[in-house]
Amino acid sequence: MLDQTNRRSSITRFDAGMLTPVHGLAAWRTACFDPAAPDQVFHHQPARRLNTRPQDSVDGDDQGNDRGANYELAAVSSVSLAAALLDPGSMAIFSPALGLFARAIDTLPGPLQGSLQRLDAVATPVAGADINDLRHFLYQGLPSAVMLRGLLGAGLHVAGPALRPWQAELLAALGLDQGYYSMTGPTKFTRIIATDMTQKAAPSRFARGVIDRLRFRFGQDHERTRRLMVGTVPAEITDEAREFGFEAVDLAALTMAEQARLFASATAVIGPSGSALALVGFCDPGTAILELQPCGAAEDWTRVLCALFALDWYGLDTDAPDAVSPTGLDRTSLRTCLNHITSAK
Amino acid sequence: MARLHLDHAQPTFVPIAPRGFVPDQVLFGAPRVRPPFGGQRIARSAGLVTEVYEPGLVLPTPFATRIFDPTAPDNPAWIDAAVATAAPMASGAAVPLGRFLTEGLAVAVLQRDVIGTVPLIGAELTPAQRAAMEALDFAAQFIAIDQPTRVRRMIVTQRETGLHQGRPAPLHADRFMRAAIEALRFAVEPYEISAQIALRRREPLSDYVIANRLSFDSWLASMGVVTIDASAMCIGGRDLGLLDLAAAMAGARNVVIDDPNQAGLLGFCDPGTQVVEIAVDGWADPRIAAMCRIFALDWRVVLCAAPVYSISQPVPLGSKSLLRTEIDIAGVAMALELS
Repeated sequence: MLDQTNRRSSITRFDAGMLTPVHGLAAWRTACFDPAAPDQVFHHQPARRLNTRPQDSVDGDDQGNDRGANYELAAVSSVSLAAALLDPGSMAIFSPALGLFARAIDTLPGPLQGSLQRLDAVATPVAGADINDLRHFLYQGLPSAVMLRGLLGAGLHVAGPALRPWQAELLAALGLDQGYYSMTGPTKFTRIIATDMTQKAAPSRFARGVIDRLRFRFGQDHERTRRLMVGTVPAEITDEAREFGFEAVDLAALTMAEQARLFASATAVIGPSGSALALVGFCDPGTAILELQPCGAAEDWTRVLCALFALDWYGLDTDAPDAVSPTGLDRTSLRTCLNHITSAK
Repeated sequence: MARLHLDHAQPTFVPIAPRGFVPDQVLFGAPRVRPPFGGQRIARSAGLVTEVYEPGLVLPTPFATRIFDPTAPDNPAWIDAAVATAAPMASGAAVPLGRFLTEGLAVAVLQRDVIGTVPLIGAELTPAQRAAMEALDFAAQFIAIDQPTRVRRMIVTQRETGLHQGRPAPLHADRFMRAAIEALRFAVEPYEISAQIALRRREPLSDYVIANRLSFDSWLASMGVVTIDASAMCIGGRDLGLLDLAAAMAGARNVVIDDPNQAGLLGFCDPGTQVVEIAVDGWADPRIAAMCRIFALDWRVVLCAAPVYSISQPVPLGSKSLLRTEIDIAGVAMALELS
């Protein structure tokens, strides 16, 4: 166990805005690979306001559907940190000069586990603190690593903990599995290049560049005609949806490629808020996505994702506190909703 | 026959104008205009297929690929490629920059993940095309050709749009057009030359004379809208590099555009950017609207009144075109929310 960062109260935090900006691609590349370069930042995108207003109101609750129609997409920047340390347990990044890179992690990590290693390499983390969350890995962590690798070339190593099979499959599909540095403990690199895409927020535009490449890589094996139900859908919705041609699908047994192809074949998808709808990015533009939102638990994530990926988002507010409780929806309004999203295609 | 066939995506449709052609929200301009695209709110999204031909023939300008028949009589105009395996790429001065980025270069980016690094072959790159290739690390593997070239193994990734009235349907927009644009956009820092940019051709629309073009140009300038000519790669009288163009587009929040061939350049704009298309009543080309949907931009259209004319009427003296129309400046102001 290391002791140099165990005194959590003494750790300072910093974000990209505190670093000196570089301007121009050539200068940024120098900032990443010149051993003498100071810690610097490259700004890719300022915060942007995105209108996520749904296509139509289908739940009889116009106010609910207009809730948060304008969403502020977070700014995107990359930082270059000399002699920085990456902890594979928490995916926290520490700079000896500045402290903890705060945008990538919400809470201070606990004591670092394992012996400190040193690697003479320039590296980027494969994901942030939520590395094992599919939504985070697919739309934030992976895009961060893939975009930086594309910009800076093979001289940038991708690093992180030992990967789960689904993570390894995604990396392999993008050709990043070879040369992946699987960390066994906290590692100090010559330099760490990271983006603040790995913070907890809705995905940025750059997620599209990676999902589209995965979609191309995985291909399409079925005509685009299917209507899918994913995740835990309340029984009364399931029963009605089946009459509209929706089929419940179990994703657990499928590889990532098979899941991607399944979503690519969909014209409409129903699922509860959260990770169940994580793979809708593989759907073709114009696919209808019906997000079931338990009362008091509405989130913007899927809605923003749909706006960025040109999917038609619909929200169905239910009175249920969770996905398995009775929804309180009457049959007529439910059928109106299902008829609306299926007839739109 | 192709030695290999991979289906990446099947042809489908992209809905456009998701909230409909609502007057004064999406549709601006002269009263009594017809809804654009015949009222259709869908555009074609092409399928994408990779095939390997042994051997193949690449024609640089106009760009085309053919299965090469080894038993056919030899043509002295054809030469052999310097490499055994190559992927053809639509490039050169005949290919507008927007098309190059969303079609040729996007395919190169996608192919690299699947088949690795292979030589690319096509017509001599323009400076802007070369800059894009360099930024994405493709320049070293590009081979310029100026005459039909035989390739022993040709890897072709091409879009399939199906047939429309017995002819190949036109290409509108698809998700795979984003691949190169997103990669290039990541390489630039937005630079706000102006929050309002007009992406316009130097010459009027080829089939129409815009009677008030000078007035419109003056009005744009007076409103602080900076005009970029992407076909000439210049802003005002100054030359513009590709990354400068991308940075300027990324910094804009309102864009006026009249050329569907450059619609791909809108992809450099960040999500939520307001795009105002200028077209003529009866407009039937949905490429700009479709590209806006694909890139999450806020699309609006200002329709100029379509002229009524006699089919036997001669072209007016001093005019290159029979058809004349005027841009509805008040409509553009409303669409830009400047009035």
